[in-house]
Amino acid sequence: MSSKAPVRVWTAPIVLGVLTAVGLISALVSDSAGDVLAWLTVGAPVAVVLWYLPRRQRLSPTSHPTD
Amino acid sequence: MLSSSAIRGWYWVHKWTSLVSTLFLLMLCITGLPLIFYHEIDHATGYSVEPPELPGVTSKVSLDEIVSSARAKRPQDVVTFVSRDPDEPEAWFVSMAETPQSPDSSAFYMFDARTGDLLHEYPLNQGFMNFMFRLHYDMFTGLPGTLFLGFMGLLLAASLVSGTVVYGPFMRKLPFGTVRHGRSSRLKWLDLHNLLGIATLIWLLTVGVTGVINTLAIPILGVWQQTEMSEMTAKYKNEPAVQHLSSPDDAVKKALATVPGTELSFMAFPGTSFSSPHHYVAFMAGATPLTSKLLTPVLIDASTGEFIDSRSLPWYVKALLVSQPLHFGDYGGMMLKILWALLDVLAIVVLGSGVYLWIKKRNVPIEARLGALVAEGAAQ
Repeated sequence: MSSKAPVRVWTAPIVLGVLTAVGLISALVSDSAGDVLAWLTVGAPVAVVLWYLPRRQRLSPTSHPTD
Repeated sequence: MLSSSAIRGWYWVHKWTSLVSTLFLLMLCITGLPLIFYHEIDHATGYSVEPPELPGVTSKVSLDEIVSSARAKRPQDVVTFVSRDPDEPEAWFVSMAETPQSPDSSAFYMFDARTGDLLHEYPLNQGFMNFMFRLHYDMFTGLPGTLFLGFMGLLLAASLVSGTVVYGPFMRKLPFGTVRHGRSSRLKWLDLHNLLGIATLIWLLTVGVTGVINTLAIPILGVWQQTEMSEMTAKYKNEPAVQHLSSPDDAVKKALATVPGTELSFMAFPGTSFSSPHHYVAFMAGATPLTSKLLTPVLIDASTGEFIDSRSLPWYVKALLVSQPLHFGDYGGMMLKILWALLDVLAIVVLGSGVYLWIKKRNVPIEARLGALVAEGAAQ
């Protein structure tokens, strides 16, 4: 078990969490620019989910040869 | 690295907080979906209207005239609130109730601020959106139902925290976003549950916690009444009830002059949970996006019309006010509402997949599942 495992596991969740938080607050404190920033950052988790949702097995190093 | 007994403990918390709350959380997500578009749906279905275009008309009628019209419509009731909507600057809204303390309004009117005409009487306690709202708000059971749903929100928060802790060991051998199609249905839904859950974590936590704070609105206002409000109105305590209300129009004008650079959000008439028995309380909204949510109350003597006091709200009422937009998602244009709806749908999938995984694997201990993951990783 390498010490890099936690970094690998938590990088994406932390990035998504920070983006979401930035967007939720930006729309609260600023109207036009803050709203646009919120659309991009709060939209990030939705975009990421839609990216991974289809079968992307061939691209993944853990994929099973018979998949 | 978590010990296996720690993982088991966190998993136990995740399982039980989820199982107890899932049914209610599913109901909240499903009823919440149309509620995101409350405003748009009400307009589309004719439950709400917009003031007519009156080119060149710049007159403003006195609020007194509007309040008198409302009283004439329902002489047996009292006016409880008058309010403005920044999106409908030509309208005055008037709420009435049987008594100032009634939990339910008896009427809600829209008046034209330029002509004083009654534009619309909102149908209360009927229709699809009202049904969705009541289910979401208190399941038709009043304050106990609201507080119960708040407790379900706390369980959601505990489930999210514990779910995040067990996400670590489950994902140790898997790259982010892995969805193992083609093996077993259970494995695919486990991956989807993990991916969707972790991606929507901060949004779900925010909407959950702000929802819990919103369920505490009545107790929060109660504390404010008992402390700040009674301090500001201490010398009125033994005064007789107000016989003739002073002009509401003058009260609003006085409040605007007291806190310059603000607009009226709403004014509570005497005796409601937002005012005192002897005072109007005008809640003033600031001009910036944030201060437009953090209202400043101004107390006006309801018999003499004199200005009494104005203090900024305590932190717990501010927390309530900020929790509202963060829960409703109505503060960043239509695009944010659409994102709110998409995230809500993802949350429904997380809840549903959680139930599915529990049904499929409820007899298999966590160690076996984690062991299977480790074995898979080692085989590669």
